[in-house]
Amino acid sequence: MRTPFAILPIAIAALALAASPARAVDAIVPFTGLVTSTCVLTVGTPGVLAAGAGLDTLSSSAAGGIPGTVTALTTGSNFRISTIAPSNFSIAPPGGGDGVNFSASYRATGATSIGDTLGLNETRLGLGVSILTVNLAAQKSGGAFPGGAYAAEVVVRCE
Amino acid sequence: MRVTPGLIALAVAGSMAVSATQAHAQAMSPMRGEVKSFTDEFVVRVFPANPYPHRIRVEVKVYDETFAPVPARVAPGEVMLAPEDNRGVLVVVPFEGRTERKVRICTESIPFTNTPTRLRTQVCGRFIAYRLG
Repeated sequence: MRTPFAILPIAIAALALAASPARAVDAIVPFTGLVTSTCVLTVGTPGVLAAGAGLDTLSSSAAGGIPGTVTALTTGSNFRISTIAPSNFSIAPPGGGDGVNFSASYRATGATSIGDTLGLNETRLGLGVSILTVNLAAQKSGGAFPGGAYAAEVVVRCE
Repeated sequence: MRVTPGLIALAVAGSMAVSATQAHAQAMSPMRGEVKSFTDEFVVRVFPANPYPHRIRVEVKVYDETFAPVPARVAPGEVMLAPEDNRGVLVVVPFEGRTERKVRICTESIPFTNTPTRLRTQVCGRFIAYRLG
């Protein structure tokens, strides 16, 4: 049987430990943040139209043409993308814009994956970064496009 | 002079080469909202933002559900945004006799005159407003 004197050294040792440096106290500093749900569009490269063999089409998907690229960054999952073709050229030589029908299309990779889609058809964007490739074609019903500089604007819409 | 496909492609490429030098981007928040108003108009404040290291010019426009323009007052209608900056724009939309109105408020890029872009970007928020009383 242990006597009170036998316990004494243990008690002294425990007190010695307790007398060591003061215990740390944790405090919590709260941080809050808010990322609003938004859509960011960035034009990468504008497109280049090239004439088709019959000279009655100008298209970014024809040989020598270059599609435009746009990066779409979304922080929400409820955004849709579409493209709107122009109704006329913003720059064209005389007679170049007469009897022309425009059509735009796009496809997407990255957070959104979709093949060639007609411009006005909306596509739900995935959360994150999507790379859009935009094509434009102009078809002239009254014969060949006259020589000169042409320019047209495609609207890329995120909503 | 004989016009060939290659010649037209060159002319088109030349006219667009200048536009490749500057990218245009914009964002806007909020992009969804519900407003209640006791008056014949309702007000929305949106914040077009420029997340990029160069200034951009944007304009804010208001459309209805079919993208027909709405006669709203937008102040300021055009803003030059400094790099990585945003600015509040006040949009006042009339109910025009309705008790409920859905509008799209869009931030659109404005190409600089010396650097025309051939892809315009349009970021649109959808808002619904109810007239109370």
